[in-house]
Amino acid sequence: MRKATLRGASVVAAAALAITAAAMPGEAAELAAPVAIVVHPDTPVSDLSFTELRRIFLGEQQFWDGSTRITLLVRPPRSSERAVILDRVYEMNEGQFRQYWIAKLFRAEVSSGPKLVYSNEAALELVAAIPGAISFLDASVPTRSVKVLRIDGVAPGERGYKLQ
Amino acid sequence: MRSITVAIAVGALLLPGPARGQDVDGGPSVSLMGFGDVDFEASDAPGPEGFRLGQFVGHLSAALSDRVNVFAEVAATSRTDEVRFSVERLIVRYDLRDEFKIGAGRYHTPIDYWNESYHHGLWLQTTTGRPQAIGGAGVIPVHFVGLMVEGNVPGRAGLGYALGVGNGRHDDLSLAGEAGDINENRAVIGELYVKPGAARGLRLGGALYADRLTLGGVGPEIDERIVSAHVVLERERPEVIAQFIRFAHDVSGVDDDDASGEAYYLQLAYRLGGAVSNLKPYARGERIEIGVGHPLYAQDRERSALVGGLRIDVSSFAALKVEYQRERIAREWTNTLAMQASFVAASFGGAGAAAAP
Repeated sequence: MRKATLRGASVVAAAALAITAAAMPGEAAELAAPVAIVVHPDTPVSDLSFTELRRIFLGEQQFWDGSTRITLLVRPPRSSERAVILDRVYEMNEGQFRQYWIAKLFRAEVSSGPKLVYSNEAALELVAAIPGAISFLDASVPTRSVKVLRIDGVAPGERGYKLQ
Repeated sequence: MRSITVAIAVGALLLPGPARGQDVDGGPSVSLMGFGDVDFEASDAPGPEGFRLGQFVGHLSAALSDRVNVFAEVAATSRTDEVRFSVERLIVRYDLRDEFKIGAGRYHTPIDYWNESYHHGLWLQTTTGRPQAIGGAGVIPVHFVGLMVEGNVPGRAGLGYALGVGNGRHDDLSLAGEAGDINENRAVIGELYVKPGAARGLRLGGALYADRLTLGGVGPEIDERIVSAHVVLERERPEVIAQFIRFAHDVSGVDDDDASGEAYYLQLAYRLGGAVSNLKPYARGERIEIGVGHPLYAQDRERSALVGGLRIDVSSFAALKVEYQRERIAREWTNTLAMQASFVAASFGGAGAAAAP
């Protein structure tokens, strides 16, 4: 039985070693227009680390500061802003993105998936209206009614901004 | 009568109801999904071959308020002479914050990654079937009826946990204690895992489970202890699932130090690229070893299997799997060719803009 324990433990250990390198994020290709991350103006953050942003978009962080529930609004397939977010934040294609949210629902980790918004204007309107809402849009769109977040301390359009 | 009631519940899950978004009528935001599979099997093992219906599983998620959520899962499983309906999960949960969510109901026991993540969602899993430890061998309690506290701590480590107290197993060990515990000793489960933010898809975790079994409802009484660990890469290139489970059973008044066993499996898969990105070859090796004096499972002391196959995603929501299985149970090797068509149909509810991902 002790031999079996060693074999079982070595299976887990070997898997851990084998996947460590594969799990490291790779360099993505440079895309064009910057995408701004926008939140409801009362949201108590102005700057997110890229890791925090990814956790929110993956549905692993579902509350702001422990109180207000986060509502994630995404653009539909074939929008250029969605392509940037899938490539840089999710590191998934459309099929993997759908499967990811179906799995989250199936595992009872979330009670609903992201909500679709069909234009930059609709995203702005809903983010301004829904406490806790977060979305993304073309950084050239005027955003007076919502708060634009810095990512790792960098604003959209500045050198080193990751969502472009 | 029970079958009719559950059949009505299945129908209710699958029909588009009026409460399909808070923007329409102020009702709950409801998401509905249906998983199904049709299978073919040819084998030199004893038993029926040929085509068979698998399961049809209806899954409902509903946000009753900003904090209260309901999850339900009903399965229709085809047997030799009937279709059997069952309530697989029913959970009511209050989400206070990310770190603290409390719920009650019937869960997939969070003691094994596979059991928690795929279970009846065959389209979600890469292979046609579960590892032996989660299937017929019955070495883990796959369902848990009770109270569960769970959550995750925001931060780079991605620390998550689940703590539960519940009824434990029925006197038929393949069942959960649906309508009360069969003895005065509640089962407890504790799970801890990390999902480091720097390594997307990586998950490392482990769990402990303890219960007292009362065979046949009258005895003997057996203390059950299960410990498990997993390392998983929830990605496509590659997908890695490694799980180790150790279980020990102590019969009251019997001094037997060999009443334990172990199960482990390792699954590897890799999504191809370019024009063949709908193809995903995979392989899995698995083994169960059980002590000579084990009071529950001594009849099948060693089981092992090698599985190799190809998953073909024919659409975003349907897959065809072709698989070869070489399995050893009770010193006999068998060979099986299995094929499976599986699908998911999903309708996501929503508030405000309302729609699907």
